[in-house]
Amino acid sequence: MVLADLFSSRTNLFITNLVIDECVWAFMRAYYRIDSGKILKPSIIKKNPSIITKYHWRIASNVKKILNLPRLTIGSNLVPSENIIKKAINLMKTQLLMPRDAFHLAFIINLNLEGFVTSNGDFDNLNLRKNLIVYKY
Amino acid sequence: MPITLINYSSGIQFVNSVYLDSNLLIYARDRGSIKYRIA
Repeated sequence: MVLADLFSSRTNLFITNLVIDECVWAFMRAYYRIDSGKILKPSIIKKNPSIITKYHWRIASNVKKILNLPRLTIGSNLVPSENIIKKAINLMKTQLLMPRDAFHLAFIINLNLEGFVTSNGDFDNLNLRKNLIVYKY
Repeated sequence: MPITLINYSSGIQFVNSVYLDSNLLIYARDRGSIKYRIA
């Protein structure tokens, strides 16, 4: 429903490499949990790297579908990394955000995006110099 | 200035440009997720 409404709004969608990294981890954990009933941790993969091979095709397929979403832009290509790093480090302090969340917000600000669609409550109390609409689902 | 928080409801009109969190994309690919339908 959220994605369908974004498509019907003809909204320009932005993600970054960080988002894809989080998706890949989530897909791999989900497939491993379904197969083994266990929680996948990095140490398990280090002991048994064939886990990556086992799920790679499905993960790659999912990522391809994400990258093919209409009006999707990979925002990490559009802003200098140094600016993002400096902004994220600053946001950690001013907004009391965890590092990963600070990097997401740094991209949102540097890309001058109007909105953020998230289920993460850590962004509920932001106080920024710019207008930002946070859509919670 | 404080941000504007909007709770999603079906049929909502979004602004011109938004950043997507990973959970939305993860839920949308996971039919077993309790948030699959909303994603």
